[in-house]
Amino acid sequence: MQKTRRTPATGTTAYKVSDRVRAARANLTVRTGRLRTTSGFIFAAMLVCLGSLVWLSLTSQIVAYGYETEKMDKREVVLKRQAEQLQSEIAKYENLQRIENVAKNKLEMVPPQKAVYVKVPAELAQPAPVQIQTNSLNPVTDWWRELTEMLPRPSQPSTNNAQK
Amino acid sequence: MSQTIERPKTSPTRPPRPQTTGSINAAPTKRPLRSPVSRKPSLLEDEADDLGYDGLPARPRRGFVLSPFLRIRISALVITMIALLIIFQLFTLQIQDRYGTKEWAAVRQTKTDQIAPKRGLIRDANGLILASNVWVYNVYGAPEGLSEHQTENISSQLTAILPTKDPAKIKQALTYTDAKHKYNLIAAAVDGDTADKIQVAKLTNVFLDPLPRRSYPNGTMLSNLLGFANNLNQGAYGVEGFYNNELHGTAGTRLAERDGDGNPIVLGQVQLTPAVDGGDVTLTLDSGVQMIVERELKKGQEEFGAEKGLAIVADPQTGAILAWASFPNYNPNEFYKTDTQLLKDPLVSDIYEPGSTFKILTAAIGIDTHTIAPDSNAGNLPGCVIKYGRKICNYNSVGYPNQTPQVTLIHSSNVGAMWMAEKFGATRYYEYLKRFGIGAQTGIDLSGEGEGIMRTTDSKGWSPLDFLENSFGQSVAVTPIQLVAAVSAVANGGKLMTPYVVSKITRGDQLVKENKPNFVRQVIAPESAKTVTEMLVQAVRQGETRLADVKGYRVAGKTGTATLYDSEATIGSTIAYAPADNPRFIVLVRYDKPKKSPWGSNTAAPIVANITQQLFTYYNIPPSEPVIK
Repeated sequence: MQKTRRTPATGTTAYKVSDRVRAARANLTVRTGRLRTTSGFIFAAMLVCLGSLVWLSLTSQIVAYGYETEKMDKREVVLKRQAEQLQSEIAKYENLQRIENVAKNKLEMVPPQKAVYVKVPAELAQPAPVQIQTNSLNPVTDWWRELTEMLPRPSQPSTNNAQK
Repeated sequence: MSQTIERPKTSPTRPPRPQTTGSINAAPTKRPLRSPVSRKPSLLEDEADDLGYDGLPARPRRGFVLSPFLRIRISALVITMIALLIIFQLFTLQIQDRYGTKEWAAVRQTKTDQIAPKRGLIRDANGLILASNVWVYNVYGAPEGLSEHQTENISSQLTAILPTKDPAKIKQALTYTDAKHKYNLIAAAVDGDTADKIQVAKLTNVFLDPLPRRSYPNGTMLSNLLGFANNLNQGAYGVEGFYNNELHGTAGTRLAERDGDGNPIVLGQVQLTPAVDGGDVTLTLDSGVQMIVERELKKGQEEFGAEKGLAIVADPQTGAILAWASFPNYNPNEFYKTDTQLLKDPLVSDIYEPGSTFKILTAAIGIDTHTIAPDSNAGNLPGCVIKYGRKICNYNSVGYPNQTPQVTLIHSSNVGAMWMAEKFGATRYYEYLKRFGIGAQTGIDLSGEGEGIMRTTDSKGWSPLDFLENSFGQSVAVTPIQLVAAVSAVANGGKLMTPYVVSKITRGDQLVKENKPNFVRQVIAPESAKTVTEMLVQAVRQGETRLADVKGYRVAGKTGTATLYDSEATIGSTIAYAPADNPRFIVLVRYDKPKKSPWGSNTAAPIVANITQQLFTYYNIPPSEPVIK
């Protein structure tokens, strides 16, 4: 069945869709379909390839990390061994006999003689030194205390002023 | 669609191959005939001809040619046979022998590695390491594939690194003999520095096998108490033996898939059971005190020519051991060179007659049973008495007028001790001795503890003479630690405490076990203990124990001498505690078979004084009385 159409300007029949055109259209549709199928297949293949690439890349990364971990494990074992070895070395250096020998022979120190305790009568005993209450300069040794005592101290109000 | 090949009707002669061009549409052309082989005339042609040579030999003609169909059939048959064989093999492997195959594959593909746990450290009370771990290396050579020149070269390099090893033996280990000896030991247990040198040298076919070893940085110090761990990392004797399970830890495993070369497959399955390291053991012992005790004990042993010297310092309030020494001792780093007799700890296993030190217990029982007082008058006791047909004398055979228990302790009178014992009787005596822990293990956390020997009224062969002799420390045998525990009960107000050497076991920050002072029982009343302490202080100040005195301090103690049955030699000992009113430590010193003097008052007592003096300084204990020079 042929379709006719009137043009609004002339009012005559403009053309007829021939079988040839229809066949061409149909052919185009088939080709488009084929193209779609092909492109879909290519797209899917590309996806698969991409997925494979990602998987391969991940796998290779995991393998690389695995080897790295293996290497680090071995390194850890070696370091632990070294730590144990060093601990043993420290223990040898801490040996009291060795320290005593070094003190006596190298540093020419002498062992302490008998301790002499002197009983001081209570009335002669000096009071304990007063500790200076400063936040920043705590006396640690005598010379340090002397130095800190030389520092100007904040002036305190006199009793008279206070009474006023 | 199937293709069919029509069988030609002609004889199975090879058809001429069609000559084709590059185009598929080109018509098949007839193959051109091969041009005849043009042979170069030989330079020897004339001569060859003379010799009968008539050119190249004719190509043999194939007599047996198979048709393509037959060849296809044969090929198909062969492929089918192979396929059948494969199927048969698959059937055999996967169905018939499936379990065996599975196991075989598992064995081939997986490998279980043991993860050795780290043995725990042993520290003293101040945290100083007494036992640690080091790594030593066995050096192996794999001679297979080494040329003579290589062997020579490696041997010379190893000889330079291992100068103590015989060069001929090194070379022998690197010389290939047979397939059975793939790996030959070149050197055993070399230290880390030497192993580093070997590694740096990068010697072909030379391998290092790391092995853990126990190290005792203080050498012989505390060897009897520590014991040792053998080459399999198993503890033996002392703390190492008693706390082996805690120190050793639990081994872990790593089950991993392996490739053909035995290397782990990175993405393969791994089943990891981590190892649990051993706990670190902290002792109650103080290395500072130990050094003082060992130095003084050794000095005394050399001075008096004693065969053996033993010493214990303990805290009588808690039972914690502060020092533990015995000579001769051994180096646990070289335990394999040691005489096995030395491995036993004499302070827990050696039993001996305590002699007059036992009078402390006799006096304590008498005071606690209120049968005697320090000033109870025993009358004029003689220097010797005959009891049950046996003559028993004081050490100097001298009697004392108006003898009291106090005088008995001051002059260490055997006759006086018997008088005290007779006052309370055998039954009560043995009850008390049992309460003091005599004749039983103290429960100290060390292996190989002895029980001692004490015959009671119920024992077979007991006689009243035993009871009388027991009162002054004969016919009874104790271990040194038993005596320390018993006298500690007098020192601390009558409380029997379990002696112990380990204060805690930790793993990292985690506290695995803590040993706290263990109160066993109240043996005597605190007042009785105080009275006996005062008697012992006087014994030290006025009596035979005076060489154990330290001026300015109140030291309570008693000496003892026992004659050995098999010889005229003696065992001299002294036990003392100080400060007497609130004791911080108790010291026992014993010398076996001293040559210079047989008496404990002359040998052990001055050593006790030396140790006590230094401990007062060490613990910052000021004197309680003015020191008069």
